[in-house]
Amino acid sequence: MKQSSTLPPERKAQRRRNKLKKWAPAYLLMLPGVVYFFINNYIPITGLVVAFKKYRVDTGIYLSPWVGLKNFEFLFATNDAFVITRNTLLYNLAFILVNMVLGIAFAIFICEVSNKWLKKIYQSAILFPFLISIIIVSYIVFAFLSVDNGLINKSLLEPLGMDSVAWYTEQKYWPAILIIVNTWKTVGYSCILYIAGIAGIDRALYEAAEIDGAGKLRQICSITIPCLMPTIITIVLLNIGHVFYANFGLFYQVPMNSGALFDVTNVIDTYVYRALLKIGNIGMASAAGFYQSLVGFILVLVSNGIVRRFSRENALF
Amino acid sequence: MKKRILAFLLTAVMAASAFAGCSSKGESAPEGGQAGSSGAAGAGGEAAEEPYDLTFMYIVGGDYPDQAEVEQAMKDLALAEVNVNLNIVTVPSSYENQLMLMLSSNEALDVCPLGVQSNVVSYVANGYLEDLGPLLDKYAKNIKEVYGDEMKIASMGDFVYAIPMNKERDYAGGIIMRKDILDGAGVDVGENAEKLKTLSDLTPVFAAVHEKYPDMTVFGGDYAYTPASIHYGRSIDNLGSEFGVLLDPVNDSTVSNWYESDKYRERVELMREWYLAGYVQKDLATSTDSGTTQMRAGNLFCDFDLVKPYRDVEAEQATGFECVVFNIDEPIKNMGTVLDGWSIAHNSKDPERAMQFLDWVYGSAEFNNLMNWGIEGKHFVYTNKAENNLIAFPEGINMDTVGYHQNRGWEIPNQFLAGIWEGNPADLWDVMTEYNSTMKKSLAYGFLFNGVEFETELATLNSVREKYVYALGSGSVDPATELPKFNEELYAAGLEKIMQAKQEQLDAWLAKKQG
Repeated sequence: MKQSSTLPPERKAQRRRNKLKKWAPAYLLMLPGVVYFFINNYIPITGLVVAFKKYRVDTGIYLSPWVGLKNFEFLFATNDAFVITRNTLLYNLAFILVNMVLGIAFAIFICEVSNKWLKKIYQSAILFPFLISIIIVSYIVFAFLSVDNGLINKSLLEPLGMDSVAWYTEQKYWPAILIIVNTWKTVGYSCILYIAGIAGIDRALYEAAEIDGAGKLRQICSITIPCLMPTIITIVLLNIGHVFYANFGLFYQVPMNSGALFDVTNVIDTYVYRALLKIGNIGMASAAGFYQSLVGFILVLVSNGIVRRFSRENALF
Repeated sequence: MKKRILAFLLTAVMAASAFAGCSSKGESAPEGGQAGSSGAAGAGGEAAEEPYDLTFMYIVGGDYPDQAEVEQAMKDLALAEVNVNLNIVTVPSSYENQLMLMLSSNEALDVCPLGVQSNVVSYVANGYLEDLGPLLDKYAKNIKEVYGDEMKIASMGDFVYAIPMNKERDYAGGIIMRKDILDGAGVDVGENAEKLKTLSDLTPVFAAVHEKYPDMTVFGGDYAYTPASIHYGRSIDNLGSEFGVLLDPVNDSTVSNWYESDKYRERVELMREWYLAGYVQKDLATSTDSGTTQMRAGNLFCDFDLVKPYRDVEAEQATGFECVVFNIDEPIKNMGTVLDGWSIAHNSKDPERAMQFLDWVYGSAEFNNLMNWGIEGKHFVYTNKAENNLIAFPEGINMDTVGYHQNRGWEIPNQFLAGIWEGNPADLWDVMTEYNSTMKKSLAYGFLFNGVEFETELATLNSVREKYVYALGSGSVDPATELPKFNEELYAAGLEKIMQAKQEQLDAWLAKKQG
């Protein structure tokens, strides 16, 4: 930079042209993506105004009358507001944490498998649940938890002489059930990301460590995890941006929409769905979406700020 | 390397989230035929004038191979009999968005059905529908014959928004029981009929069945279908939503809270008693398998369902077992079933011609047959036309090979004119007419609550209701602790406000009706 500032203006322009020429194919490659994001993700942002309007189909979004914050009222109208915010945040934080720890652990295990075929099999097996529709997952869970015919009640508790449990009306088990189900379903995906990260670590580091007499555990603590740090931070930051979006299927389908469990399974998305299903108010639904994006945006900024303070090169921006 | 992996990860995640963010936009409704040449149409509807291009929407249950052929037959019939060029738009039963778009975008649309879930109030408020009142006065002949004084019942204030579909006028509840099990358990309902009056009289019956058939589920079904979860019937008038109802709709116009009523409390307590005694399917609160399905599978003794005349015949056809129906509610005419109806869109170029067409439909057996059963001789035949109205598949045709078979009588204008499918009693429509005409009437029959101003309250009330009503209604939680909590949360969500508004609007409506 210092050098270029001493150059005469015509040389500067020349350099810029050269640079443009050099990078033109890259920009060209980028173009479809940019256009896609502009059309699909940026233009609709203007539609956010509908959250502040009384939407009328005949006049369209932009000519509908303004109503201020009225659409947001229902989100905070009852003490449900506290429950759904708490559930959404705590579950998602637990998911991020458990997924991270188990994801890294499985990634390390799988990378340690030397047989190539077995490695592929394990990797596919762990990813498989991620590809199953949540509806099917909910029935797999139901096969375990059904009161009348469930595996746990009929094959485990009753033969052991214990009372069967009405799983779908007992709140206290559900935080654990939801975390287990979510981990089973999604850990494969984060595991793959970490495997990609581990694959990128320079093998020479391990060889050097081995020569120095470091055991497997030592290698993991001193090489694998520190080298994975950027991947971990990126994934966690991206997940934090979604901490206010709940996985609707997980919270609606898996507990079978059981009213008795709402205190521990109601999250923003299910609350909005249940409240507005019968009313179909687009303004109120958008208000909920707007609130979620806003909180997600703030959380990303804050957590990125924290990361930047401690390790600048790992921050996203 | 590190940077490259990071970049790769970022791209991958971004791409994934971009796809996840993709939401399907509402599809634009199909282009309707251009309505034209109606300017010259006079009021008379003489045969000499140009045929009117009329866009007609109706609901179909699925794609049938002969759909086009049936539509052509409908067109030919309409052209010959009422000089109308039909442009037919078929929609699936979840068609609300499509209807809303067509109504709001000035697309060609004349005659359309309104479903139970439709937002009638906002349609009227936004001016999407034609006021049928004056048109009915002028043109209703067949409709008047069918409904008499009640032809304008589907109205908001003076604005008539629809002509009801011809069917039962209240969805009353009942318990449907397998007769072979009753006999096996030694319970003779016929003999004990006078002893069985109320729901709680069933407890000894259930006990007997449970003792004789310990492995059988005594009571089960779909979570929304229990005497305490259902939001139809119950001999009350729920005035359009569950929040603020008339508990004694025939005599008293006071709006009260159903969930605080003795009747509701008795029902949830009874469900709890049955649940604890082991009669109720343990997963009932979350079950989505209907009682009919479970009964057909063979391990269910009884379920709760909406009943009407000859419900036992229908149940036997659906389950394969001879059934006994125990009515728990006295049916009372209310607006619940009237929200299904046929309307004329404001987009109509000539509402008068549209009304003439609609009136003709209410009198045309052939047209109603075409809508529901297809072409006579090809998709159905009259088994003995001289004797009765019964119809069946033609020789060599069955359910799998038939080219058109809607069997959605409740969604066509006047099923009472159409054929009755074989297996049903031949006097079905007479009995149904009798059932409707002898039914007691709610004081609020004809009143429609305008809740446009209360959407915030209705939204929160809905979510409170969802939280409690099915858990309580299936007996899986204790009403002694949960019921007071339920009501407390309802009031916190603004129940009082809705009840007050309903009472005010109802009083004003009643006063106007008197005066």
